[in-house]
Amino acid sequence: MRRVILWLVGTAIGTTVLVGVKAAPGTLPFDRSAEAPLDPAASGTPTPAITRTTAPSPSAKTPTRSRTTTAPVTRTIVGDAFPARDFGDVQVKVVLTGDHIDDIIVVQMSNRPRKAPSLLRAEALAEQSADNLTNISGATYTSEAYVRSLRSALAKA
Amino acid sequence: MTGYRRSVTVMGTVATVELYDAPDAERLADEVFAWLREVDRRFSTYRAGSDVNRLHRGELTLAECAPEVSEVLARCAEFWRDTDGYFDVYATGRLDPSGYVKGWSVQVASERLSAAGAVNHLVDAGGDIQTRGRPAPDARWEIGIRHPWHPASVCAVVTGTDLAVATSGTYERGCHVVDPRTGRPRGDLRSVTVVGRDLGTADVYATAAVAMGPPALRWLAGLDGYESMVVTEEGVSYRSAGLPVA
Repeated sequence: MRRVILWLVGTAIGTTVLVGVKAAPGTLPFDRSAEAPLDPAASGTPTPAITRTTAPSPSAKTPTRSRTTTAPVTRTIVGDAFPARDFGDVQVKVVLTGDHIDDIIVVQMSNRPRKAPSLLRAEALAEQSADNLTNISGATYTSEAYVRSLRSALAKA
Repeated sequence: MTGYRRSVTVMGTVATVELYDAPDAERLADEVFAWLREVDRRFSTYRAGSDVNRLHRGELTLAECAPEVSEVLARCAEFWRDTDGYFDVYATGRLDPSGYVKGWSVQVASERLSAAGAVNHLVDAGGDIQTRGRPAPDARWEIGIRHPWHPASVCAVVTGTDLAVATSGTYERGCHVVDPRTGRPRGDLRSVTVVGRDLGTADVYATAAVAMGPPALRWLAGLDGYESMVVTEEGVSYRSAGLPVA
């Protein structure tokens, strides 16, 4: 179960976090300066025990590493909001148990670009009689045959 | 409460004036047609002695042309920028502002009619139509859009009071609108109709859209204050959300 969550977390990170932060191998691609340490009781630089993967690994074990003697606590940490090109701000919060990511929740992410590109609506080409209309837009009167015919009629008048 | 309607041949096409409840309708119609003839003399690329052709041949400088010529060309330069270069008076390799001139001249005729007190009118030159006011009390103008394959039918009817309707397409004169980027005529869009307040602008937008081809479907949808309808050569019909259909 946890293995599957790790896989989903891995791909979710890839699609929702749009800040161009280069992650060190084996670490999560968060901007370290913007987040709280994964395990505040740890000394030194915390190294997460979870590796980001893009495919389920059959032999993955549930990672556990505890640097303290106390039991891990589940916490929710809200990340900062960052502007993503064309999408407004993106902000996520992380649910952690110890240094294990249980869930990543999108706090804000606009689906719609600020200027939504629009397209004319397609539909079936309709047709109706022009009999009861006196004004028609379209190059109706520029066909040579039409003008010739008209001129011939006017010449006879 | 009287209606008045008259048609003449001018600019190689048919022009119609319709006046509702206008003072001195006969004289006002005469003035509209006289204006359109003057525009034809100055701007027609088919008349050897037109200002536009003399300018093209270097026989006149811009300063020596009628003042309307400078105004029109200045406006065309702005449209070139507004349409991302797709409305281009040099697209065919020589100066040709006709994609704007017909609509502009009808728009000017309409402005003069309004100034003269004829606030309910329709002016149509070759299917580019400008209306103001109403054809009758509580009525609105109804303008059909010619069916791109069946000349005796329409594919839509738009309605309104102050309405400009311009259509550019390939079904009458063939592929005559050139894509300025390739120098070649465009045929993907068989008919483009632009509807809005001012006919000169609508005329330019319709012409630019034909030159643009399929990307026009997105460009037209983004226009401020102008609605549109497009029929492709494959027979697919598109319209903008706000097109004022009857």
